[in-house]
Amino acid sequence: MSAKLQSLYARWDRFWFAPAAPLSLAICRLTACAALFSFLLAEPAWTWTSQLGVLGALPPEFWKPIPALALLHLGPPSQTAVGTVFGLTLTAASLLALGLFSRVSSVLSAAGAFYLLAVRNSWGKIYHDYHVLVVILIVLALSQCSAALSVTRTPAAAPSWQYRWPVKLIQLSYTLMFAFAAFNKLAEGDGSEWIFSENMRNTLLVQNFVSEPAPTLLGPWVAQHRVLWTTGALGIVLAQATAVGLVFIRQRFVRAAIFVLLWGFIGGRTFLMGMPEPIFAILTLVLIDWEGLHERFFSAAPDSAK
Amino acid sequence: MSKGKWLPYLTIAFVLGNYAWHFLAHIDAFPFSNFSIFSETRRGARHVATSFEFIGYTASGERIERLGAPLGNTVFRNWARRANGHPELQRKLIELLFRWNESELARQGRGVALAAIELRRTQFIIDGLAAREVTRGPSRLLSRYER
Repeated sequence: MSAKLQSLYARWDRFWFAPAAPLSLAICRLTACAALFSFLLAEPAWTWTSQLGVLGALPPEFWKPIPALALLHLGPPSQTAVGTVFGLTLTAASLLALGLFSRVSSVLSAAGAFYLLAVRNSWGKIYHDYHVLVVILIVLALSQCSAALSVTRTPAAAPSWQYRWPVKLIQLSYTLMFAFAAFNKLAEGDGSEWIFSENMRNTLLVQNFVSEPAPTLLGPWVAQHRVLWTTGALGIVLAQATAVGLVFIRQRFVRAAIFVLLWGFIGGRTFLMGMPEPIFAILTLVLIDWEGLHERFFSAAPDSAK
Repeated sequence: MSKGKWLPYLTIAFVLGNYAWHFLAHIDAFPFSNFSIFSETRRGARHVATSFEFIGYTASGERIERLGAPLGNTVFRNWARRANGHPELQRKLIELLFRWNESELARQGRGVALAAIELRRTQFIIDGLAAREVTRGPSRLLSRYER
């Protein structure tokens, strides 16, 4: 192997498999569980009018399975099936959050979330919000995600390559979703239309006066000022395009700037469009450098400081 | 590849490969979404938006604004369109809409029986700094007796 190839392989190997403490992976586990709870408790199967509760009562004539379900030859769900899977998923997610029976509970959480979200998407409308959570849960099910922050009393696990690749893959899955969204926006027209045309103003007005029951406080005001809606559109594209940088960049100032953009984008959806997305607010936590923070604030002082 | 790393490599290839494939093929399929919503632009064009409102009426004539539908009003409107010409399916849909809204109202502490539900389609034009209502209807009244 040439020296160049060897160095490339070493960088690749370091990126995915450098030894890491289990803390970040454990926080990814807790974050995914919180995101799953936010979905399950917002649409509980025990409430008949919730999105999950009503699935068993929908006319089967309107069943339009997404490709993943069509491949599995699964038909429209019964109320009992949704209720049973819901109960199993909620239990499994609770055990996973505690770090109990994580091998089984992580697989059940991923399978249950996959089924519930897939059947919700199989009636003629795709809800994009929680897709990435399924990918994250699959990665967790294939990793050693309960080696830290678990109620089982295990000795502190030594750093290992097994705790790094799942974190990097989870971070990439989440940020690639945004990167593709930014690409889709920039690929329209001459590349700047999404930002500099009336598009953002129109979207704000539609969300505030047509789609939502009541306008937000800030949305209509922002829609009156070209400089504000254009800056907002630019901020959204920058946030989505640069989020993937959080997987690779270590400089604190750059990371902080990207976080400000990302939280601004998530907050903007809530306060300007009335579209709160708890899933994004929660999942953005996986991008924080938890080990760096832990080292900075909780590690023992070096000998020289004594 | 080191021994024991085959599962991580397989998972990485599966996840990133799927994202790459969905992105390059312009597919937005569960669970590998590339989140293309809100990506359309209409430079200089008038922007038209449609809202679907459901309004309920009790036997005594009380009007109840902002009713909903299972999985949302737009989805329900699409189902209603597909049910045209299929009386049995229409009956099932109407039954579902009444039952769902009465349950939802009861959950909110308003135990009322609905006599009719109006399905109203309104088009708006985003023109200047306002969402101007341009067409209303055709609205359709579903009565309890159709159930």
